[in-house]
Amino acid sequence: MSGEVDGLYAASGPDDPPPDGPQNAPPPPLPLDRLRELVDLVKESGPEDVGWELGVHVEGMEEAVKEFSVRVQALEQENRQLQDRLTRGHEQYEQLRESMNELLNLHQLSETISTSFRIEDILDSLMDLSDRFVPYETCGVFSLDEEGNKPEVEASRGQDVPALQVRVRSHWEDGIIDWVMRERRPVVIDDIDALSSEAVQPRCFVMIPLIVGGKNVGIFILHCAREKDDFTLGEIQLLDVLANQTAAAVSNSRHYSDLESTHDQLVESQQQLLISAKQAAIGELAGGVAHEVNNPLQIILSRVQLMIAQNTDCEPVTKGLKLIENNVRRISKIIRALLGFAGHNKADAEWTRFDLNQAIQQAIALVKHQLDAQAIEIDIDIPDDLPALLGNIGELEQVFINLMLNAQNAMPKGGDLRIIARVDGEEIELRFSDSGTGVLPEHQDRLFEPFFTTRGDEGGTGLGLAVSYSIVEVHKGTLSISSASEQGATFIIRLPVPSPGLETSASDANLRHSIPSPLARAVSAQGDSADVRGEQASNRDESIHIDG
Amino acid sequence: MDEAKQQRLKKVTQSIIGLPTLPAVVTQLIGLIDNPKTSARNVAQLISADQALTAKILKLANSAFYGFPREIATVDLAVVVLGFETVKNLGLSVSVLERFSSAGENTHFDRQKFWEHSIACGVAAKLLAEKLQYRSFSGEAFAAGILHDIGKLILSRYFPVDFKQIIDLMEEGDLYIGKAEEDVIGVTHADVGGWLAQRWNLPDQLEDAIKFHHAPGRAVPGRNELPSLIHLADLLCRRERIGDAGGERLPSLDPAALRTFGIHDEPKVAIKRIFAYGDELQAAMERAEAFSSIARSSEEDAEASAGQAPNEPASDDVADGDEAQVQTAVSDSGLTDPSESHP
Repeated sequence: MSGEVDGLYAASGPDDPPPDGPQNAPPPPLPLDRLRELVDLVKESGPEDVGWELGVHVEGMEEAVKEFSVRVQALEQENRQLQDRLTRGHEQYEQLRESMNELLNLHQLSETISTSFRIEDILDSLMDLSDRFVPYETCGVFSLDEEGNKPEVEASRGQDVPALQVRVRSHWEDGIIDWVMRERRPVVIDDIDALSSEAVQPRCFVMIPLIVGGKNVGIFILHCAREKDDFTLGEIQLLDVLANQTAAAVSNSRHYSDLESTHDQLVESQQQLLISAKQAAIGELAGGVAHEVNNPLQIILSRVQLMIAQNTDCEPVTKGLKLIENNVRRISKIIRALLGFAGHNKADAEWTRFDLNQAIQQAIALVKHQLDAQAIEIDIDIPDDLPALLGNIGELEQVFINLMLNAQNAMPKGGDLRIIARVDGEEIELRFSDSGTGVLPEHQDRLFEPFFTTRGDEGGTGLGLAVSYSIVEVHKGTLSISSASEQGATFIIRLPVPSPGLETSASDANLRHSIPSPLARAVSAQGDSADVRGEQASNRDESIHIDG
Repeated sequence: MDEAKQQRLKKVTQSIIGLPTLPAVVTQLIGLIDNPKTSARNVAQLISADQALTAKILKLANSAFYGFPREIATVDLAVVVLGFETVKNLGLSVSVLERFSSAGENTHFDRQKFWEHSIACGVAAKLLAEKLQYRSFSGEAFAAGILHDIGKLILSRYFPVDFKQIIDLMEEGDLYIGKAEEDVIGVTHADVGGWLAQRWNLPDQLEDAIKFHHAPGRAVPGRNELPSLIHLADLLCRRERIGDAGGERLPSLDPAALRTFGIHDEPKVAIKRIFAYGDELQAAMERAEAFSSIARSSEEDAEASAGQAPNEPASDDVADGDEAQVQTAVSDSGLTDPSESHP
């Protein structure tokens, strides 16, 4: 606009050709404002007074003035039109910019979503971005479940979250939340409290359902200090898009963590499978060897007994034979334990009633040599009148072996291992206490996690205690640890006393399939328990050889 | 649509004079809801200026069909609670119900039953939109269901002679009405309805839904969800025998409609999945009673005013006075080519 006015003005400069004559002369261009003034002046005081300024003769003034007026009007109209266009242009530009901003916001959310797999981050960015185009006082993401339980807050922002929770609860009780979830689109309602209390700003709630794959997972609720009428179609659509994106992201994040844990489980079972296969082979070999050794041993024993009977008169010989007999009996005992162990550890072994004392003794027989070699005293305190337990004796023996080897590793320089059993209500409590190095507090939580080991460099696999834990769990018991540093560790097994009628529990068999073959574990216990502490792993493989 | 059919449709529609127009408020409403800057207040101000429309919208908004747990006392609350789209489609549906209610025109056509079918189709479309998880259409779906057979009203009102012939042919030959329409006038009620939607500047979605509700496979790819939805809703209502859309025969199923929603089973098996919603539709129809009552009262009002004054005085933009002439003109023009018609 100003350009045109300048042009008019410039044309009146000295370079202009002089006007031809008063009648034909085109009116010299003047700035609009000046022209208006002149027109007014002519109207008031007649054309003569302004004649000199326009550079025309007075005679033609009236007509010239008329012409000016028309031109002024035309220019003013043009001016108005241009101004209108400018305003419209500005408006469109503003709208475009706003749309761009909204698009950018959405883009930003998508970006956060595609780079984030943590639900917390996703909800954070939802609350951030929502505030940018629908400013709120308080907001919260509430989870809803299929059972129709009360909505629980998952994430929140703002001034008064507890109050929002109370309001959401009451909306839920009124059935409004349910209604919104069925409608599957954002809904705005008045905040009735803000309406009724005078002099308070009107407020409203915006409720945005979060739906994944047709399932309601939650609701995003904003408490805004504005009237519900102010909401535009665009805002509501934007919130809807935002909620959909968020819901999809949350769903992805859940899938991702599912996938991760499945992957972990797969790695775990693969490792267990590997170990199982290796140990099963060793176990089979050991069982075979034990069987082969047992027969000649019986022959030796009977011959020695015969010789003792025949040589009662020769003291030194008898003494020597008695020594042989004792040692052969000892070998035989170990072998019987080993055979019994292999027998119990068939994968389909049924649950039977067994005596805890006997199971402990058999387990000790298998590891006594190792404990003796490390100068570890075993102190057993188990009452004779304990009720019989129900379960897989082989599996539980393996648990006991694991705990004893664990104690052994905790006491490289020797010490005491106390095994105490007590009846406690409907349960039997069994404690394995060592006088070793104890367990660091930060390790206690992770102790029973598979593959958690502090002896990775010495070949610990981190499976011994994990497997023990799952065996006790299958037996409906618990395995826990209480440890004070410097004073050693106590592992506590609690097993239920079976009700009298229950003989075998076939229904539990399916539970046990999740655990690798018991024999494999029994043997692996020899190699892999005691992962947590201590330093030296003695010649573990030898321990299953029958060289006691 | 092929060239010849286009020509026939042109021939038919050119002879329609004095077509009812949509009330200005509805046209404005459609325009308003196209603009994302429109606020709930803008919509409420527009609707509130029309008291009769306001009352009807509030009656429907508070009906069991929407079932909002609190009272919806104002239009602005209706907008933010039910949604902009729903309010727009309510306004549109109510207006069409009113514009096309007039009694005594045609004895072969039970309007009550026609509206019942239309409303059922709207309810079914909304139901299926939810079931098939096409949530963006649930507002649009209802209006599309109500309007889908609007072409039949045009035919019965402006071509009564031809329409009687169509009905007779349909009954004699046990034909599906669309086939009879093709035989008599060369175009179907879907074509005529689509043309009307275009004349009224209805949203493209609605126009497509009306035009292709018997053959959603022929709609523009990517824009065939709503036509498919209406196609299935129509079949469901006919199977449930709610209302009467003319003729006993079911229109044939277009398998494209099922494919649109990712159902790729054998059509005869797949349609059973749709028919399984019959009970839910019957239950939803009870909740939608408010719509039927508005349709009934509109028809009764029309009948009453028709009885009082043959030249409806107050009716704003409907050129009712010309109607008699229109009908004469149509008859004179010999729209029906005897050689084309069924013997």
